[in-house]
Amino acid sequence: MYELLIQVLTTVRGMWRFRWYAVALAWLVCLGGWTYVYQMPDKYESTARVYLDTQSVLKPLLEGLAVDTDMRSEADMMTRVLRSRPNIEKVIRETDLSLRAETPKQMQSLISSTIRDVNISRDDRNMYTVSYTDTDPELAQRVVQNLLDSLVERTLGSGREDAAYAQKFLRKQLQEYEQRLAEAEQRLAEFKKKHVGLMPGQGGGYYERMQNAMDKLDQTEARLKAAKNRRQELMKQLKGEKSVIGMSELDAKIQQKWQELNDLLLKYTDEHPDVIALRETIRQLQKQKESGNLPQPESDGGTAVNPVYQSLKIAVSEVEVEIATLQSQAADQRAEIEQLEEMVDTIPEVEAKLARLNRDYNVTKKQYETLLQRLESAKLSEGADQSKSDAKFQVVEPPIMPRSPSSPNRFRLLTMVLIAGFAVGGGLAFLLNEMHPVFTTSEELYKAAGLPVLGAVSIKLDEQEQHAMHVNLALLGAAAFALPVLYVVVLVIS
Amino acid sequence: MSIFEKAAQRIAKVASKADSPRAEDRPQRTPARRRGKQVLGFDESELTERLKEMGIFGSELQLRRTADEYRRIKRPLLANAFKPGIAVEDGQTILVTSSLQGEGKTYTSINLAMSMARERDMEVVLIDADIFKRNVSRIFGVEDSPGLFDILVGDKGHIDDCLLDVDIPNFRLLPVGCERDDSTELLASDRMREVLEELRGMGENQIVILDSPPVLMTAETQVLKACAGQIVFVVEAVRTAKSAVLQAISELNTDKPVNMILNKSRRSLGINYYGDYYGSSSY
Repeated sequence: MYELLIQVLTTVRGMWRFRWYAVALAWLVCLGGWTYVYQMPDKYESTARVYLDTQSVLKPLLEGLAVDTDMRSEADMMTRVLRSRPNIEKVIRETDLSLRAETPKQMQSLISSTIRDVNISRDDRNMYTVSYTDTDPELAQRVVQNLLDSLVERTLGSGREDAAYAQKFLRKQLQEYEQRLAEAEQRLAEFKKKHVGLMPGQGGGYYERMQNAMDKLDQTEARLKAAKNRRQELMKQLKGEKSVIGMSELDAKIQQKWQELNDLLLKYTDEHPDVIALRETIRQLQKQKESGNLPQPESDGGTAVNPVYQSLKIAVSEVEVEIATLQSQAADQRAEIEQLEEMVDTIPEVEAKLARLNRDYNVTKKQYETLLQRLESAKLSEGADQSKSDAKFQVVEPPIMPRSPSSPNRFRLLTMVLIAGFAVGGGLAFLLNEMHPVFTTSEELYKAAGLPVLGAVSIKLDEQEQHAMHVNLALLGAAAFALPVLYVVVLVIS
Repeated sequence: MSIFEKAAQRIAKVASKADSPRAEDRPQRTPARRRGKQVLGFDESELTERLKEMGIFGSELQLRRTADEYRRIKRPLLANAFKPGIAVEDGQTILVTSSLQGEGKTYTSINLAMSMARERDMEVVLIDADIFKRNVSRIFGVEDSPGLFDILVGDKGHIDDCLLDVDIPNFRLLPVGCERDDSTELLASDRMREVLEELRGMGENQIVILDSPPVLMTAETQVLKACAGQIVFVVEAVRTAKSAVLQAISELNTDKPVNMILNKSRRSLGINYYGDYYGSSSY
């Protein structure tokens, strides 16, 4: 700390050599600075504050439903637009500021300087400050008013504009979609008409149909087979029978039939047709036996018509009819299957195409419905906007004509010039000292030279020299002191 | 006319009437003694007066302070000259120089000489070796008297003829002598060495002080440094540029002991200057 002090004092002593340069420079800077500040024209600032309301009652209701134009981001963009060259040019013309520019070049620089002097800032949530500074207070006020009017115009108007535009757009889209929907419907109808037999609705799908047909065929063939088997069986039985039979043969036959019945009953129930037929046969035989031998004319010596034979024959013809029917059915079914097989490629294709058309149609329809919904929303929000617009913009503080200048702050500037003068003067002395260093203390000398210093011999001034020194100091003091005095004078003048 | 010249004129007038019996013109003086032809008839107080007129001395207070300062300063120099274990070869011969002119060589050499002359059992010879400015000789009023360079040349010859007594005890003066172009060569000659040896041998504890020109401005100093055993380098505070000092020192380039003196220093760095000069401090 002590070393620092010594260092400082040494530097000051060195600077002291150049004190007159310092003072001269300080004077120069001060005089120059003060003159400049003096001739600076007063500038007046006019400001207005506006409130931009985005928190209207309707907003929460419309959230998610309506197309809500965000007021705040709009306003930010607004300030940019307001300070844009074209808009400023408009302001300049409307407020007669344009009188200051005669040539196009001057106009351009006027626009630039105006843009600089216009300040639109957002203070806090919804408050905006619009200000403009000029040498003419009345003009300042006019410019701000003009800007305010622009601001009002644009923010109020644009919301509505947006909504109108949106609606126009939506309507156009709706028209288009309506058309597309109609076309899709038509295509679908035509298609259905063309492929009427193949529509999945009737019988349910190609593969289902195929399956059905094949099942039916199988069934028919199964029944056919069963019928054929029965015929075979019957034929076999028929062969073993005579068309006419004698009495003893009748008994034997009854016996046989009872045997057969027993055998059958082992396998089947009483409801089985063979069992029933057999019982009937037995009954008939027994009836014949009991009714005595009523011989038929054609038969010889006690023979009768074999009822078994007869019934068998009837059964056979029944079965044959069944077989014929079944065969014809089977043939039909095979034909159907063949037909289906032929269509094996086309039916799925058709079904796919149908699916696609359906989908297209559905999508278009959905789109159309969405647009319709949007349009309704937009209409709704337009209505909301309009009722919002009353509360959404408010001028809190209108621009007044400033009575006193806002700048320059002469006191501050003049003081700064004074300080700067001294600082620059001091700086010069410092610089010069650094450029021409000397030795002030023995320590310095020793450090620099590296040789022992026997001591310092103090300077001795005689009376004359001392007197001269004092005079010099007094003059310097006067010169330095005169500066603040002059400062006060200048302050008073301004 | 410079202040030296004016005073020199006045003194010359006095000196020329050295033998004239105008007692009222001259102050009382004690008669001559020892070696040396001429005796300058003023004592220390008159010298002081003269020096005051020259602007070298100031008030009583300043005198006291100066005396104190030189008392401190001379000690290491005397040690280099005489103290066993410390003394260097030819340490009795002290060269006083600086980097540039006006730094205070003459002032320093005279004060050193006077301070050392006050030592008990010590004698001092002050030689003015500055052939250009001749300040020492001027102050004593003998710049035209025969001196060092006359002896070196040889024809005016003898030390006894040139060496001057002053009414300061143990203090003698050898003026600079005639002007010569070949001063450097003369100083480098054997004759110079002889002269110095002779001077050194004159007393038991004899100090020879050489006032020389500045290092950076002439070549003489380079030669003179060979004559001396130690060097005193004077630096003027707050005026001489650091670079000049450093350059001079590097040019000096010697193994012999070099000691520095910061002359004209501002005691309290210029802040509370005034008290001392008006005698209010108890220094």
